[in-house]
Amino acid sequence: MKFRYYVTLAAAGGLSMASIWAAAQTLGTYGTPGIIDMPTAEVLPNGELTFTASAFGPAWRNTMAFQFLPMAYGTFRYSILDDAFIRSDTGAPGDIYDRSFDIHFQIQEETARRPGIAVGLRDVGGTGIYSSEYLVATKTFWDQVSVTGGLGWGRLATNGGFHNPLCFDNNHFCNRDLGNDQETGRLDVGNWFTGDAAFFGGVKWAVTDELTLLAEYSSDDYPQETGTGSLDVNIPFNFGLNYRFKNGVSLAGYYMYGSEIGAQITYRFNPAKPDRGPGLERAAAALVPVERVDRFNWGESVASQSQVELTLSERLQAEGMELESYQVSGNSVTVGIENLRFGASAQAVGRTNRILANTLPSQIRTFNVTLLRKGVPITTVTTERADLYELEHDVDGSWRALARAEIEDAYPDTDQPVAGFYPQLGYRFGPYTAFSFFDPDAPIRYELGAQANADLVVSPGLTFSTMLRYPFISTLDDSTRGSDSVLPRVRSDWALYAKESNLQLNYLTGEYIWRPGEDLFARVTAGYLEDMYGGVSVETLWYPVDSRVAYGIEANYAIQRDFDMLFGFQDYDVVTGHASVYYDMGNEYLAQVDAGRYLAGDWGATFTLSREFNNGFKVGAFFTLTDVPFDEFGEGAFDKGITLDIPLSWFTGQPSRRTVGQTIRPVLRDGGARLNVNNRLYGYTRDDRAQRMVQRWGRYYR
Amino acid sequence: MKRAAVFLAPVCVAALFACTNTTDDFAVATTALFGPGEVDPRVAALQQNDPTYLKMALLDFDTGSLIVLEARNGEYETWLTSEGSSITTRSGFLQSTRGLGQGLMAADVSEPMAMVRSGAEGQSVRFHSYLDGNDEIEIRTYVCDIENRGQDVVQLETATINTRMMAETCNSMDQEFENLYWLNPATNEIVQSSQWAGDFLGRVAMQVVPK
Repeated sequence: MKFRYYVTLAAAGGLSMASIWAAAQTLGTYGTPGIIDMPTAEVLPNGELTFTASAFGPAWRNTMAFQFLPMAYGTFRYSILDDAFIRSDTGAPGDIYDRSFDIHFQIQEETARRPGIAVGLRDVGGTGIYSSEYLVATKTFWDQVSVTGGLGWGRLATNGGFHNPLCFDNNHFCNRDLGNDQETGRLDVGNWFTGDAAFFGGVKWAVTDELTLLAEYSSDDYPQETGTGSLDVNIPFNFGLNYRFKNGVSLAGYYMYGSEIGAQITYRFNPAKPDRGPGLERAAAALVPVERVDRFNWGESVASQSQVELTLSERLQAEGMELESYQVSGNSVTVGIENLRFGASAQAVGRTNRILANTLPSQIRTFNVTLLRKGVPITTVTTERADLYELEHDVDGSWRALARAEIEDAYPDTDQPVAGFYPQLGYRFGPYTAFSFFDPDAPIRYELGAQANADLVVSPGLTFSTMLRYPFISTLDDSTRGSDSVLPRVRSDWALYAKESNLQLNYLTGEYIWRPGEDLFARVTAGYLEDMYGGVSVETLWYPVDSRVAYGIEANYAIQRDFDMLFGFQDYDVVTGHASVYYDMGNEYLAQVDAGRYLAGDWGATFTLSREFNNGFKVGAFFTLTDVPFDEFGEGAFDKGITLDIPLSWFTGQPSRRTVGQTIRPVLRDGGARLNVNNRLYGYTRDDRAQRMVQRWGRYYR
Repeated sequence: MKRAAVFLAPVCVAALFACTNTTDDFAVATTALFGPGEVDPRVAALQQNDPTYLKMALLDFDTGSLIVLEARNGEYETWLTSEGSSITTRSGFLQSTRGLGQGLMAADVSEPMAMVRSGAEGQSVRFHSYLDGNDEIEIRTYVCDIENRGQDVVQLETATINTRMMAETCNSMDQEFENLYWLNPATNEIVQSSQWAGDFLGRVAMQVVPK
């Protein structure tokens, strides 16, 4: 293990020189590394996430950019354009809410001698408002001045356009389809790098670490905006300044096209570096030397089994863990633990081991800790007691402890719950918020109200759950857009659910999760499964304990619920289900493919790629292609979106298993729509399986 | 810290009115915003029985307090702050910290320890491991020069004593720091020190509190 660190260190040392040039210091109006309107060949530091809002003339651009690979970033942008375009539906100038995705690849990293070179696609749809492509080079001089020159297509060739160098013999690069179809969403690959091309360029001068001066020649003439009179382009030059604060915020001001003042704010951070580092949680108790444990706990008397069990249970509870089972056989002990506190299972195991060492009689030499979720055994970690003491102060203690531990599937299930442990009731009553971002008619919709939920675990794996909500304030139901879907309206009637409900029954289910065999998990859920569907859901997952790959199959019979979200059903029902592959590719990348039948009866597959930082912060993107033709699907052509999942502990520095998640879809329609069932097995088990547990093993002695 | 507070606002609003027996959102949110607010029960229990204290200050944060001895195991002593964070020392050498952000997971200080205690000068090597915000452990090696700086007077709570002052100047590829130790020549114990706990925590000052 040590070897690996030295290698990493050496690599980091070597890279740090290059990264002076590679890491973009300022972002442009598109929220990506750039000068002002024009892109540069720079990229963000690996893993960095940025949020930018910029405004000038008729354009408001709100962009999230994520450096998902060292050499590539992607963005999602939501733009508000005031009367800048002729709307296709009304034929008159009107406000447009535009959603666009960009992607940018660095082909060559900048070095002392060579410039950085990158290729990028703005608004990859190909026919959208910002649709353009570029090839760009950037070179830094004296660490302070960077010079950029590039070739643009599409929108980036509306000023000074000339014959496309890719065009000869009247091939397909010669003409660009300027359909400007605002309702599109498909990938018009055929339009990329077509039509005229034009040069653009500019200079950035980092006067100090904080202040950068900007000047550029723009190849974007804003033809449509000038056509509607919402913008004057007098000169093709833009000037600006950018000021970076140490806390990740930067502000910029621009003078653009000889007519407009622009302003911009950017916030950037690296999810791998939360403000509170690895956290501020209370320290675990120091280990009491084994020869003193008995006296330390019981004085001169000899403790009974039940006394030991009670003390153990209390000490675990103080650390946010429940002792579900406790069995001693010979010199070893097996405990079943419900971890309610620690996001990193390795930390839960490490703390449990130390509590066992400080509590159990000295003749017990082997600890088997089984991690359970609602009574379902997932994984067992076996540790020799002597190793705990030996490695407590070791400089590489966590990793050496891992090398000596055994991690195995918790099967066969020999778990014997301690008397009186079940039934367990968990409840929560409090406020809730729900958001919908960036739909075609409003940048944000929200709902605020009261929520009650409860889980009654009757016996291991058998749980009855419910959640009720009562909204006090809601703009979700302000949507005036009726569904125009030609498919069964399996999701597009979402606004009707918001409108016609008062007290919402979000779910009411009986669920049983069990272990049918080694490395196998199974689930049956029945009842009101989610906001819009009730029915029955059956799933099984094969997930070898130390595997990067897991396979699952799920089948559901779903009936659409009434819009009032109470007990009634509509007459739409469907059999839906998927076969799934989950793959942890390493280096923080996760891939998932779900293929099968969706709610509208369409067949297809969903592809998801996520970058999950080791600390649990996750950024993902997905798309679904089904046998529904793009035209029938309607706006957006196919289902797609991005997801953000942030552990609560990332914000607070306090340990927690809770995660705050948000999915952002440009538009929610009926094709490629999946049922939402609680506790799908991969998510249910993953944190406790070896692959993921080991990723966070650094927290073992924490 | 500001960033977390801004992001946290909706979480807290949600948590302030919530009641639950499962996830401790309320505790999590208030602790993050205002600190734990109460003395850790383990510390409160120790304080009942005339414990041993150590004066500790985080010099780069301008904060300090008395910390209380929780456990002694051979050369190792573990001390708790009132919030329940801990510092472990090995014969007065900083060994590890817990619950103080990106602190020291562990250290191997056997070489400098032997030299400082014997008053020897020369070169030595020490190892630190840190847990970062992405739950990854980094191990760093430092090459250190140890110097005997001669006699120095240290003012303790109850006494003034003559000490031998030792300095340890350490470098790695990208980090450098200086640790200072004041030893009581009669017992060869460290009575006062300033030791580096990593980029985030910086220097930790400690001074013994005679009983």
